[in-house]
Order: sequence, then structure tokens, then C-alpha cells
Amino acid sequence: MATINKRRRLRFNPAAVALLPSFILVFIFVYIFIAYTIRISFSKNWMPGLQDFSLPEKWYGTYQELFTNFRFQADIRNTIIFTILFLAISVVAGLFLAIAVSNMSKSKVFFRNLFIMPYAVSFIVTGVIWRWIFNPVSGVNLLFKYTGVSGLYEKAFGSPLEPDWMTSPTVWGNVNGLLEKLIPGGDVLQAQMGIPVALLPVIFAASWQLCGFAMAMFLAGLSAIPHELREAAAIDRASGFRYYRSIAIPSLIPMAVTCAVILTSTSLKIFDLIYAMSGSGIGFSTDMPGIYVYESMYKALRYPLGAAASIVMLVLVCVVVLPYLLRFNKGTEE
Amino acid sequence: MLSKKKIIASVAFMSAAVLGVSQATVAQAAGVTGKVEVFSWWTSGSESAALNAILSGLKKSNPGIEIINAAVAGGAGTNAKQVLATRLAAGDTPETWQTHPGGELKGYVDQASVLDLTALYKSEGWNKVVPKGLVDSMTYNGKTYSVLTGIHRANAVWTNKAALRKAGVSFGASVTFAELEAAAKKLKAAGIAPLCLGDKDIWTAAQLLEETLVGELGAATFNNLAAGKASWTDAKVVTAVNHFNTMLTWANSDHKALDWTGAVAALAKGTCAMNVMGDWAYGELIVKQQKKDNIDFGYTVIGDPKTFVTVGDSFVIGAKSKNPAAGEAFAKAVMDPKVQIAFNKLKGSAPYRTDVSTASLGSYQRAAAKTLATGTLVASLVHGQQLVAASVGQAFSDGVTVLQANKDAAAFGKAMNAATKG
Repeated sequence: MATINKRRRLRFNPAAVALLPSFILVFIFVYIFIAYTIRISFSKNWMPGLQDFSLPEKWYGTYQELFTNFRFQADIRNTIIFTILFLAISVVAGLFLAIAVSNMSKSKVFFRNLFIMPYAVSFIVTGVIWRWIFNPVSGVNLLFKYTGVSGLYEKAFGSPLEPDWMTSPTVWGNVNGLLEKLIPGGDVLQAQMGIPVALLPVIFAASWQLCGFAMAMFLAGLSAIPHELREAAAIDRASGFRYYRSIAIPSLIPMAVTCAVILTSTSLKIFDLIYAMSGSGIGFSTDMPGIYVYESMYKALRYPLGAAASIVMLVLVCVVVLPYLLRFNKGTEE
Repeated sequence: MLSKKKIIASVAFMSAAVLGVSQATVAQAAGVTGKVEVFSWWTSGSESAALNAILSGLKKSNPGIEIINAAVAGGAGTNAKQVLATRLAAGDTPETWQTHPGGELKGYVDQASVLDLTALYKSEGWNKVVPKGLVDSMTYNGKTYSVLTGIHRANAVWTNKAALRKAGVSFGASVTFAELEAAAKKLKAAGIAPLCLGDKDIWTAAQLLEETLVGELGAATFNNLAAGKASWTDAKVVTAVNHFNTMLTWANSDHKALDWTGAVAALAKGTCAMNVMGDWAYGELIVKQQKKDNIDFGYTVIGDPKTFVTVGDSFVIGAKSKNPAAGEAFAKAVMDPKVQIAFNKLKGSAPYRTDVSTASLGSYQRAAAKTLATGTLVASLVHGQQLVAASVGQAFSDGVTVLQANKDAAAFGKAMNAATKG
């Protein structure tokens, strides 16, 4: 009986008919094109005017070149470091701001708008402004100098506080030795695997822009918590801190996961902020796969290489998004 | 009636054209009719005005033509190239589009997307009036594929005269690295950063290295290096690359946070003294910074002052476009001597036809045009003008990015050897 019902539902489902056009469009313009890009990434020398799909000598040759390339290794490193730090800062700052704003009375609307405003600014504008701010000669370092912070620092450590910001070539905590032992084949790492100092100002700028977005999500989550819970907590004489630790923050976890997934997919695909703020940086210290794809395709005219890099980006996004979607599906079925 | 020359040209043209054969025969003395789509990235102020100078020239000689100006905004064609790539892939080819001679042009030739203009160059006598070095940068396997609008010079060292005076430095028409080094010492002593650099975008640093290499090794060696006919790990090349490493230490400390206009602004201000930049900096100094040529700022060249590193824009004709005859008419309009003067006046580049009078141009442009006509021409690798695969230029700028971190000239040489021979 159940199977017959199911079959009938499929045949006459008006929702399926209504969704069919968008399904077809998405199928063509997303999935077919992904397949097309994968095919290009395995071709020897595909070009827009010359649809040559013949394979290179080694069919995986383009990917091999990609992963042994200094620049792409640096890009993968930067993406991972950027994503982790950007996510941590945005989510924590967003949560903090949401709790602060939700406890305001009159000024609530003002501050909520104030903090979400950067989200409305384009990444290009953010990039240019923060490039000026982090200029080691004319930017924030002058603030250190004139407020006396730099002088105090000099007394304590012997040199004035003048960070190089994005102009620094330093990579902290190089773990190449350790990684080479773990990776089969050994001596493959060209770039230094560590935290590029120049990336930190860029992470800061990105977090500045998107912590307002995280705040908005957490504010929505906080307002969804029933009033009774707060009242009950107050009756039980739970302190404000205790309320947030035991009730509010645990109930915000689904919101935090959603927020993290959205922010991660933003950070894995980031292009414009970096392009406007720091470019590729000294020794590719602030380069990203998105810039690599763009330059491989439209500057070096090596479409297969760019396609391969974009497929690697897609896989990275899938690693983050798929578990979330699977979990989400499970949740609705239950 | 068709002249004999034109018939030959049309026949050559038709044999090359895949489509639009019937339209090609329409080309008559009265001018070409039908649509011509002109695809470029010239949408801003002086650039779009310069493009209009070509378009009005085209309209004048072909009153029946319908011009579609399909310009896509975005500096250096960043967006336009993407749009063009998708259009070519879809077979929606414009009659003519902007491209850099060299690697980018070679990319289109490899895809068989552009028409061979060799016959046109011959029938119109363009070979006689365009310097050979320039024709060579558009010629691939003996066939010429594009027409140039104007030429910028990449290898100028712009100097702030007041800053140099303060440090007691003066330069002649050309400088050697030893002279630069001595000057840098004096400038540093005077509290002035010797070099202005704004390499947030890596091409500016790559250009500094290119002009150092061209200046110290000479035009022929540089061309051989780019073509993979000479070794990048040669002792002389390594020395020149190390000179570049030294020069980087002379730069303003915020160089990585500035773009090229920031470096020009710093030069105008006098916080640094020298800037290796193409002559698009000239327009920036005159118009935006309100400085006077030869009073506030001067210029010199590393190495031979007769060496001219070229950066040009050119137009090709789409082989699979609907109306290639109109594309041909556009090419003729670009090459028109009157159009060339009008265009370059607005764009700030130098006219390259050796038979046009430059009397109406400014003093710098006149001097540049003269060197262009009589000097040794080298196509810029950094600006994609060398006739090698575009990936070589990319490898060069990637190499410079790494070089800034590790200063390893030998490793740079190895990477370039691999890229040029690969």
C-alpha cells in the first residue's frame, strides 16, 4: 500500500511540477557546468575558441602541477589559516555583540544598525580603507606613536611599536618538517607552512565586516528563546552570566553552526577583499585560490590549471557544507 | 569599382575568413556597411575619448556603418577578458576586440579566433611605416594579426628634481646600477627613500626587475631570455636580479601597501626620489599631481637611453565574426595617420607611424615618438607584449613575488628556465 501511495504522490505532485523549471536551470547552470569545468581541468590545453579536450600525458598532470606549485601550496595554507581565524573572530565577536546589544534598552536599535552597517559595505571599499589603515607609514602606526603606546613599548622591549602589517614577509611557526614526515613522498612542500603575519590584518578586516552579520544571526537566535526561560532562570536566582552560559549560548549552537557554514563558504571563496587590500603579498603571503584561478585563466591563459584550482576550491567548500546539509536533512526527517 | 590591390586583399581576406564571405565583397570605395561591434575595456575618461576618436574616424570613411561600442568597464581589461572568453566559447564573436600584442594575441592565434592581416599590411603599405620591432610583436609564424593604437614606454625612471638636488645627485640621459647605488647612498643620508615603489599589485615590482634586466643585459639578451633561448641562471642575469634585490631595500617602507599611483604621489611629494614606471605616470604627474615636466620632475633610463620597452594596445579582427569586412574597415581607421594623432593626444601614448607629424603633441610625447622611431625596441614581458606564451609573463610575476620573500636569484632563475622552456 505504502509504495502505491508514494508512486501516486510522485505522479501528481504539483510542487514537483512547479519546481521543475528551476530544477532544470540549476541542473544545467550549476551541475553541468561543474562537470564541464572538471572536464576542462583534465584537458591538456582547452581554450574558449579551441574546444580541445585531449588529455595531457599523465591524465592527472594538471593536478600534480597544481599541488607541487609554490603558489598554490601557499594559497591552500592561507585559505586554511584565514578560515579558522576569521571564523573564530567573527563568531566570538558576533556573539559578544549580540549579547551586549540584546541587553540594551533604548540604544538597541542604534547599535544593532551600527554593527551591521559594515556588512552592507562592499569588500572592495573595505579592502581599500583597511589598506590605508594598515599602511605602516601613514596608518594606525601613527596612532601608536602619538598616543605614546609606541613609546611605552620601546621602554619595555627596546624598539618602537611599528608593526609591518601586510608588508611583513614573516611566517610564524613553520611546520614543514613535521608535515613532510606525514605526507607520503616527503620533500614536496615548497611554501612555508605556518601563519603568515601579513594575513592577520586581512583577517581582521574581513572579521570587522562580517561580525555584524554573525551578530544579526545571534540576535535572532536570542529573541527566539522563550521569555519564560529567562524568567525561570531569574526565579532560580541564576546570574546573568550563568543564564548565558547554561541556557542562552547552548540554545544558540544551531545558529552558530549555520553562521559558521555561511562564513566558511564566504572565506573559502574570498577574492575581492584580498584583491583590493593586499594583492598577493610578499611571497604569496596573502594570496588566495580565488586569485590564483583568476590569474591562471585570464592572465596566464592556462584554463585547465585554473579549472583544476577551482575544482579544488569546490571540494573544499563541499567538505564544509555537505556534512551540514546531511545533518540538516536528517534533522527534518526525524 | 574594386581596384586590383583591393581585389587581391579581398581574396586573401576571404580565404582566411570562415564566415561572412559575401560581406567581404561589399567592401567598396563608398565604404563598408553593416554592423561592427568594437569590444574594448576603454570606458573611463581619456580612454573612452580616445576610442571615440577612432570610431568617429571609422564613421567618416564609412558613413553607412553601424558602430556598436561594446566596452566593458574594469582596468586593464579584467572584466572584459572574461566576457570575451565566454562570448568566444559561445561562438558570439565581435568583429573586432582589444588585445595586447604578444602572449595574449598568441593565445587568440592559437585558438584560430583572429584573422591574418598580413595581406592588409602589404596592400596598405603599413610594413613601411610601422617600426619592425612593433610589427614583430604582432607577427606569429610569419603572419601579422593585429593593428596597434599607440605605444607606451615602460622603461623610464622618473625623478623628483628637488629631492635629487637636496641630496646632491644629478642624472644624465641614462644611468648605470653603480650610479644608482651611489645616488641611493646620498639620498638615504639626506633622509629620502631612494626608490618610490607601490607594489601592492606585483606588476610594478616585476616591471622594476624587467627594466633592470633590459638595462643591464641589453635588449637582445632580454628577448632571448623571454624566448627561452638564453639561461636565466647565467651569472650576469643572477647579478642583475641581485641588483633588483638591492633596489628593493631602497624603497619606501610602505611599498607593499601602495599601488602605482600611490608611488607616483610619493614621488611628487618628494618623500622618495625615483620611480621606475611606464609613461602613464607622466599623465598622472602632469594632470593629477600638477607637476611640471623638467622643472618638478625629470626622467632617465637604466642602460642604453635608445632602448624603448614597448607597451601597446592593439585590435584584432574576429575570424568567426558576422561582418569581418567591417572589422577590416575598423583596422584601417585605427591606422589612419589623422586618427593616430588624435587618439594618442587623448590617451597620452606615443604615435608609432613614422610618417606622421608629431608637432602638435607635447614635448615628452614628441621625444618618446622619436625614440620609438629610431631606437631599439623591446616588447615588455610584464605587460604581456612579448610573443611568448602568456604563462611566461605570469611565471615572471609569480617569480618576483617569491623573490621578494626569499631574495633567491638562483631559484628565480631556475623557475624562469622551467617556465620559458616548458
